[in-house]
Amino acid sequence: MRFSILASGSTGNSIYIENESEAYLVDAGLTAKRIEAQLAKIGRSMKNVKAIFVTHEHSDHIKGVGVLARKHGVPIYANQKTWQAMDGLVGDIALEQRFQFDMETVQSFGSISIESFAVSHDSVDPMFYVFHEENRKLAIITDTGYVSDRMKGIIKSADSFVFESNHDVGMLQMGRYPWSIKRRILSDVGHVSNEDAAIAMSDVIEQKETQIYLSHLSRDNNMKDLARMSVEQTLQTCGITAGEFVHLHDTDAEEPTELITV
Amino acid sequence: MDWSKTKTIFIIVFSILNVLLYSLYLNRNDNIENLEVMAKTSMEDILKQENITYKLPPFVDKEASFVSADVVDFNKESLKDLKGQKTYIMSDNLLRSTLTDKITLEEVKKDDFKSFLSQYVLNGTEYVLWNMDEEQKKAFFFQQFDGRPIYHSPSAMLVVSWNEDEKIQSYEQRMLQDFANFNKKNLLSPLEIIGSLASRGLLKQDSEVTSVKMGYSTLVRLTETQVFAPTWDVQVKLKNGEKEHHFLSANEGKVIEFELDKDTEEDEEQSE
Repeated sequence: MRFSILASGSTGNSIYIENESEAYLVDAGLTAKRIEAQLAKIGRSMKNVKAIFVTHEHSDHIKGVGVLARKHGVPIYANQKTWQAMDGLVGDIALEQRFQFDMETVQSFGSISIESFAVSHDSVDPMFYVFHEENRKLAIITDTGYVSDRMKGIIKSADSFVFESNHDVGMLQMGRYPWSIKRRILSDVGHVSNEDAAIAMSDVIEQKETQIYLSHLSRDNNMKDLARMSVEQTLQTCGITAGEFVHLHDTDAEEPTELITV
Repeated sequence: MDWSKTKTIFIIVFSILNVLLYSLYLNRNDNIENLEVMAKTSMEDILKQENITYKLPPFVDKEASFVSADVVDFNKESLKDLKGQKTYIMSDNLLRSTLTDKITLEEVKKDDFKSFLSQYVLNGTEYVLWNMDEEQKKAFFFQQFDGRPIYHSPSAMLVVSWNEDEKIQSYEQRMLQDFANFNKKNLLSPLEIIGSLASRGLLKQDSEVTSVKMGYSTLVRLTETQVFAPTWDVQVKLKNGEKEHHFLSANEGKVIEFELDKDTEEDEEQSE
């Protein structure tokens, strides 16, 4: 199983996952044209994409869903409430392309099993996914105000994580956002800060080679180097030295990561 | 249907439409330019009305990086070369030193403490004089990175004290190390910064902006590392001769207010 984070951040999110025979997207929060362009950058196209799994109905996660569905006939999966919330936001999607992926369930797609789990975010029924193939595990968790023990139990011991590291609390508090938005981001249904992400990571990392992609960074209240330093130092206080068996990586709002083998 | 006529009508209609659209485009550009001129004029008008004068630095950087650095934990080994003084490590990152050499204030003031700093202070040449308080009998210094001071960071300050006889008595030092640049961003120009201060009513009537200098201010404190953002220091001379400093984030123009005189807990640990 391989994956590439095509784009990450409040301007749009999409993750490409593939194995030898099939490929999938988690979210399509960029325009269809940009998703296709990002795929081209990693030498891939929509041709092999067999499904798009939607996490929640915020525009930075569904912007390209409708066009991609209509243009490429690709099946779209989301839970029932998210489907209802997406109606009117993604245009018409043919009934035969609309599939339900219930919360806290597992569905199999070829040799890959995909497990959905609830996160805490201000959308109708947000959920993220863990991809399993043989004994390898990729956990995707962004857009959550906190990481609960239940979430930790599901994502624990993954080989690769796409982990939200949204903001630095100090930068957010000092920054130019109105108080209402600051409060929303800091709330239990907002986004996870660099430090909180690292503390959660320390609970789910096992003593094995682990790749962590710091994702969904705020453009105004975070910086790649700051997120990395902050996570690295917080992990250090939890007894985990980044670079030994845990490796931290950046993601970008514009450039896809290279294809990474889980 | 006469296609030839229809074609001619289409050509005429689209030609007229093109001319119309082009004239709209030109008008729009003129409006934008006018707005820019108006904005500049209104800022200059405010400064003129308030009788505020300013000097701009001849050369300024258009972009600057954020900077990270680690707080130095002093240890006996690093202090062994310091002569003419007794050093005490008060806590890991606070050094206090009592001078045994007799040095007069008059002597050190001659070159803004430069010789004193280089001779008696660990990495002393990295510090620059910020302020002398004759009443408190103290001089305050900021550590610099790349020739730019780090404003009011308790972790990058040096305070030199003297006694009634104007003899240098002691100093307290905190220091940063392992500086690294990252995330280069565009800066607001000194003129934009002055304009921002004026439009917020922060420049007083009849005052003079005497300098606009680039430095850094604390953005984030991590466990080991601190992150500093590029910061403009605008120095203003008021009508009554007093001086004021305004600090603004060089990327966003946000006014920065420092928490000064914050007490820190100190664990005494003598090292000599």
